[in-house]
Amino acid sequence: MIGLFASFANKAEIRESKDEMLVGEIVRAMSRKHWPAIGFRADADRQWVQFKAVGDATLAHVYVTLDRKTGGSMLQDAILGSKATLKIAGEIKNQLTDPDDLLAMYKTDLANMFKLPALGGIKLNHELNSVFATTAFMIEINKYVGTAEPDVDGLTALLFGTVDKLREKLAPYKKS
Amino acid sequence: MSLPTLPGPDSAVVHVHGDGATQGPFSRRALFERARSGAARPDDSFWFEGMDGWAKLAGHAELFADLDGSAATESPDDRAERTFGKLVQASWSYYNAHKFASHVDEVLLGAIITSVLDTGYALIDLTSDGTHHYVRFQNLGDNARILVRLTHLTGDLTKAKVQGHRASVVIGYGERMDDFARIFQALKAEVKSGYIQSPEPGTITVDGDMGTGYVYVSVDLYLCVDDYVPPSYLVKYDVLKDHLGSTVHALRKYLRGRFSVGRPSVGGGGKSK
Repeated sequence: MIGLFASFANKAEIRESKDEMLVGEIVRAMSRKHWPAIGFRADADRQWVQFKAVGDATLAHVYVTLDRKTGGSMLQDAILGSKATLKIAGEIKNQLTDPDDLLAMYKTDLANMFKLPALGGIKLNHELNSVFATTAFMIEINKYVGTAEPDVDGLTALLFGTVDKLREKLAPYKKS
Repeated sequence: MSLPTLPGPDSAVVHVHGDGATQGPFSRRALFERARSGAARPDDSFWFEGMDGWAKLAGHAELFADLDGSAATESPDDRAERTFGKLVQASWSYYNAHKFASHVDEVLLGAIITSVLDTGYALIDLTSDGTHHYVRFQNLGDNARILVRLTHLTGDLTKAKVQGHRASVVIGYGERMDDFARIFQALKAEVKSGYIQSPEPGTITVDGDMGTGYVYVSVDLYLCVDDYVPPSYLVKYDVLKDHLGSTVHALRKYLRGRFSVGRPSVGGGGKSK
């Protein structure tokens, strides 16, 4: 009997852990590119990881935030699946030293302050030394992890395809 | 005025006139240094053999182009901005050293996640406040679990320079036990483990989870993060995997010996993907 209860409890834990599984695979995919994680903030339903884009000529950092929306319970998982918002941001750093550049960036900071990112779109945001490009979309976690055949290649393609688009948006703002 | 062929950088043939006096001759390199230090100014005049007459330094960046032509001809504003730029650049170097000291533990945590996932486990728990990190993994084949609790001990640059980058790490290994007697035995051991206020390195403690039926054994270690994460950020995965694998092996052996586990269903530990 105790084995049966333990088995139920274990299945519930695994179901609740699908977002962590996905974050683990994201960390591993990034490490394949030699982009180490340099920041973690994680609680029950929201995980944020910062990666250093080592060797990338344009990007300095990439940020991934996974915010789980559904699928924590067996009923939700069966009816709605395990939906989560995946937000990916790229950052370039210009290490500004010219007062004229600082002034120009300050003006664009103000202009961007009240813009909100639209789902699927890319939002640009200047913050003095940094320029960020951010995009967010809804994903089905079950598609990538927690099943008999996890689609790790699909996750990697989604991740780096998005990073490529962000890099493209940011490239014009990168100062040599 | 265009200049004739420039003399060699170290030929002392350039005369300088400023403040009503003529000085030199200087080599172009020496004049460049004087301009950089402020001893020669942009509105000083210069002349060397072959020139039609005196010319102001300010109009002839080419005189120092093969050295660093900016200093002599730039305006005071440009010079101030260049000095400011150098200060900012130097600050970035200092700042990056601080950042590396503060987030090297998170690089190690990411490397641990990658290394354990590479052995067939899935990450099932992740909690972090930036300094204290906790991760738990489960092998989806045999249900064995690995847990790692990592606390950064040298988060500031001064401590890191003196001691090296250090972290306190608890590594645990757990297996699911289906019979109550073993879990109860683990819970009794857990009570004893609770009396250990500050475990010495190598001390193995026991923990039981009645809800999920898992029994864990854990060991306290102090790791030198520099052994795995160099300043280049190119993680030494071979060393890390060897150390993690050896620790998990020891814990698995202890768990099975202590609780008489010999079932084939959990006998394989981690499996490679």
